[in-house]
Amino acid sequence: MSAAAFVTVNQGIGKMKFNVKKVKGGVDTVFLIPAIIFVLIAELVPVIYTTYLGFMQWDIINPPKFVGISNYIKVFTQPELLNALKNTLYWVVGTLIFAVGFALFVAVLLSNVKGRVIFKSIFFIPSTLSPTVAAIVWRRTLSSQMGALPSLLALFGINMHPVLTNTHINTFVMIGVWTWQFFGINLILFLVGLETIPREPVEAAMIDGANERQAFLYIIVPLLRPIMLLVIANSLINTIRMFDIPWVMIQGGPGRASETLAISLYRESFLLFKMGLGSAIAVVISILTLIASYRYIMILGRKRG
Amino acid sequence: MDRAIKKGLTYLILVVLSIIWVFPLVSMLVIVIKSPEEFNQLHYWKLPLIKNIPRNLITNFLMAWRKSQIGKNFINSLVYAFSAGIGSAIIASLAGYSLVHLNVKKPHVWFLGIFIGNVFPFQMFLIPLYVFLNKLGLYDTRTGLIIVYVGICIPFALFVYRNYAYTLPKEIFDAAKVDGASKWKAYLRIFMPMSKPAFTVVFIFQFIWTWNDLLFGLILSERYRPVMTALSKLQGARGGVPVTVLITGALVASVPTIILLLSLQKSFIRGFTLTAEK
Repeated sequence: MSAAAFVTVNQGIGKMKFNVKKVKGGVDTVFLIPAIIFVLIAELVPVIYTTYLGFMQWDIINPPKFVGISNYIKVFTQPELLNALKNTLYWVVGTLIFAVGFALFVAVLLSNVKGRVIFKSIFFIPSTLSPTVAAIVWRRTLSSQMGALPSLLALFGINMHPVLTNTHINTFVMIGVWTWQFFGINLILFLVGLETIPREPVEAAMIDGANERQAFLYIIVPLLRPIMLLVIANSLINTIRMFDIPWVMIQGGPGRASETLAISLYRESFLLFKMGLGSAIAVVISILTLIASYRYIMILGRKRG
Repeated sequence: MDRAIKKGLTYLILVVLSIIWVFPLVSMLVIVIKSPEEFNQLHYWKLPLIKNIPRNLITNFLMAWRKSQIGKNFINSLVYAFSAGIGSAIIASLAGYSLVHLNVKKPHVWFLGIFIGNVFPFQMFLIPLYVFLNKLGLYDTRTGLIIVYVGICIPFALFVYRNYAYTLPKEIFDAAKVDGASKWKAYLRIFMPMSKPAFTVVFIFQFIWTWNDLLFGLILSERYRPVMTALSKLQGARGGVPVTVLITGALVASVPTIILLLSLQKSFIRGFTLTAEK
């Protein structure tokens, strides 16, 4: 065997070994392939494409045209979109106060009373409905034409003004509908958290002269942190992209008065065919969501094992 | 404050809240037991004759199911929700199994690469998916929507399966290897049967999410609309559908999620708290 041949064979073996190793790793990676394909198609490529479209002007028919950041400037200057930004902020803050804060308050109340199961069940019922159905139900309940509540109040001689077409209050009414729907889940999560809190530190603090409010603020709240973080993050993530309830109840109206960012996105892209502007709104929604849920995502995505 | 007063106040708050919570549901029941004519003629809170109620319920149901085509959309949603629930669970279980119990290089990077899909709001995917499905001829097809729903469901499903896979002892899989079982066999015979709790959580969450979806249905379908999208369109239709029929349709569309949540409430809450654990 000549030296050259030896080298070739040796290289061949080296290559083979390399290949065998690669195939071995490859076999295990096969299990990941379906997940990767689906996530690429449905999520990762769309994220890149939407980001790209955010810098374009595109009506779907003609080729996209690069317009720099003018779509983003529109998001923060066009009156309808600024209004949507403001409404989205109302949604975020409103649900934090009512669907989260008030749920915690009621959970604490419930943890000290008998008949807890009955109340818990009552509050949980709306969670079994979809936001679409909740919106349909409440629209009927509040409607000034044969709505349940105005009809009931009329029996007592009270004339109820229409609430959904009143632009000063309709967003808050709809935040109420959302609270009606998600209060139960948050409440149960808080109750789960409260049940796991040992009684000793609370009692010890009370013996040391802490009042109930202090015990709540300085002992219960810190111990509830993991659950709080979960509920708050969930609330933020869901309300920054709020669509279903304001859309089904009043299509973001009257006019565009109660539009949220998600509704603006839908209207600009799929009704007015401004795909670029729609994409820019999507990017803004994403950035807001990322900022709001940064900590939560870090915890979910952390290394294990 | 006096203890008794405090207790009384607590119950007062709870009872008032309960009334607010139940009121719209009761008022919907008052609607569905009336015929469309009775609803228009009687005062809202005046009930129809008891002997008419069964007939009204059936008439409303048939009008919603057939004439307003809620039945067709209901079946569509069943197809979508089962596909998304089972499909994402199978795909995520394969991935979760390989990330934790096989020798995938840099498993954490792969996990983050897939999980990142869960980080973005759905709005980020809407326009591209609309464009892709149109280009592929899959706009307004069940196949198109199934691909989208399964894809959207995978990141969370993987999160659940991966967390669950860590709780299964590695020794079992090592023992199976020693006994000569292949990786696929270990997956089918050991991982799958042992990860039933993960399946339950994934299935409930993704079935309900898909069932409740309005937005993707609104943008990606016309003839093959899921039921929530169809309902929202029915409500929007001016002067088209009688109120009693619309509300009956909404109640019928809620039956699957009500059944699922009431029978599996524990697993549902468990799925939520899973993400808050250390």
